[in-house]
Amino acid sequence: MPTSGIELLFEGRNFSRLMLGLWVSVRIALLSMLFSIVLGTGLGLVMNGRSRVGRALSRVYLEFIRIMPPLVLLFLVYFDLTKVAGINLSGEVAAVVVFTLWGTAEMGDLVRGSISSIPAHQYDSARALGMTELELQRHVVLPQAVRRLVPLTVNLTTRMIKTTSLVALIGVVEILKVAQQIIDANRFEYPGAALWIYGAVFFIYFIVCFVISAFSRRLERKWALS
Amino acid sequence: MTDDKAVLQLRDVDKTYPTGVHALRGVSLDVARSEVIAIVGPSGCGKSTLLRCVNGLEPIQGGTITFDGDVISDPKTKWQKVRQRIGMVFQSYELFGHLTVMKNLLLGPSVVQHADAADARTRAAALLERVGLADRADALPRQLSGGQKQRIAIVRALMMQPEVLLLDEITASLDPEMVREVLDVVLELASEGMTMLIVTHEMSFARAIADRVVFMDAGRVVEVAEPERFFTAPESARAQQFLNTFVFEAPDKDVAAGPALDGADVGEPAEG
Repeated sequence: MPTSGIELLFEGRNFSRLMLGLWVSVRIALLSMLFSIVLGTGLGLVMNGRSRVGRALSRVYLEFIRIMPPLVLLFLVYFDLTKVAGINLSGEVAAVVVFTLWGTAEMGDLVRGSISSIPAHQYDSARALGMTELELQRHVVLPQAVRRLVPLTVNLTTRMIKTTSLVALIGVVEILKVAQQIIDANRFEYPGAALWIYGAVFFIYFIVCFVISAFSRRLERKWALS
Repeated sequence: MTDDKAVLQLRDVDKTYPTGVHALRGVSLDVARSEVIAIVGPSGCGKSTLLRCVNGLEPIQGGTITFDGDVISDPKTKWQKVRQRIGMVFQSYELFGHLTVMKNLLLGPSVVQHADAADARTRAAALLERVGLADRADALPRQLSGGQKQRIAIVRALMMQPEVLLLDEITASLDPEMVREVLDVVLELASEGMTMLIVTHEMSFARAIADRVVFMDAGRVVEVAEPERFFTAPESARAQQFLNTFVFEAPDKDVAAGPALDGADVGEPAEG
């Protein structure tokens, strides 16, 4: 009679099921990041832009998304959108929509920060060489803003991956949900399984996020501007 | 009054910032070719603003600025053209942080002037050699000291082969021991006949390098004089008062009267 859960982790298809669950989490996170990068860049430009209305609206959007718990947004989109608007999204699509809304806000703020962190004297120096506004954006501002932005974006990706664990609550079978299923199905055979299975999930998250953060730290060092 | 030899003419230049600060109140100045002018005055007197107006970093609200016979102070001015001929170096030595020293030097010539790359590289190497930084061509700005960065910033401005150079307090954020290496480069440029407008707080440097000293206060030119005369016998009471702020009276020693400048303000000895 096995008592610990370590055997359960490698019993049958359990480990590969966990890995498939991880892939669902990562897929949701990466798709959402992809959309967030595109939309967030636009939002960041508006936040830095000349239009006061645009700046105010983007500010309101950012604050709204930050104040709202992502889980509430998930419930709103998954359950209430169906009820109110009759739009019936699958759990995974709803997840991508919500994380894109969230990621766009965060990404917009990162883009805004990266551009506005370029000191005014960089602009003056480029102008004093006779560059046009377009040339100075292309050769001086953007290359430096991107160098600041990329490590921050990578960090946002790890936050995104961690936050995807919420989608288990709208029935998407990602890594955490798979873990729960394995534990529930073996509750009587392996009463101590929860520790081992959740422990394994913890380490899988850790390894994925650690690798990504290490990569971002390396970029940060390599591209340090001062 | 027109001075035919003047490469740069400022007539009644008036500048008010959008914040309402009236920075320049009718400033007139003629700069002859190869002339070195030091602009001194208390903080906020408008001297940095004056330089920024000369190459169009700040628009002016009144008066005219003429460069080499062309009025450059109206809205139609092609500043990109003018700025290639009037170089500027700033207090905060802003090299482009993502580019190596060599690429910092080549960016202007390649992007703005579409200069021949090999030729620009040769000129850059020669200028780096002259300022004693030939071995730092591949360094990134963050690997350089403040004094080195500022020398590179001067070279970067020279790469455009300007006819006039504007230096805006270029040693004000440097550690004292690095001031000299930067000012030596400027002294050499002066000896080669570069026309320069230099805003500075280094009084002994101004005295050594300038053909004329312009003293400004509250947005106006108060006094224009030869350096010896300005530093020994300034005419205006305001200039006397200003120069006195650089003199420190040692409590237990005999105090020299008048605005003598014996090394009171800077890390380098004044001559005489």
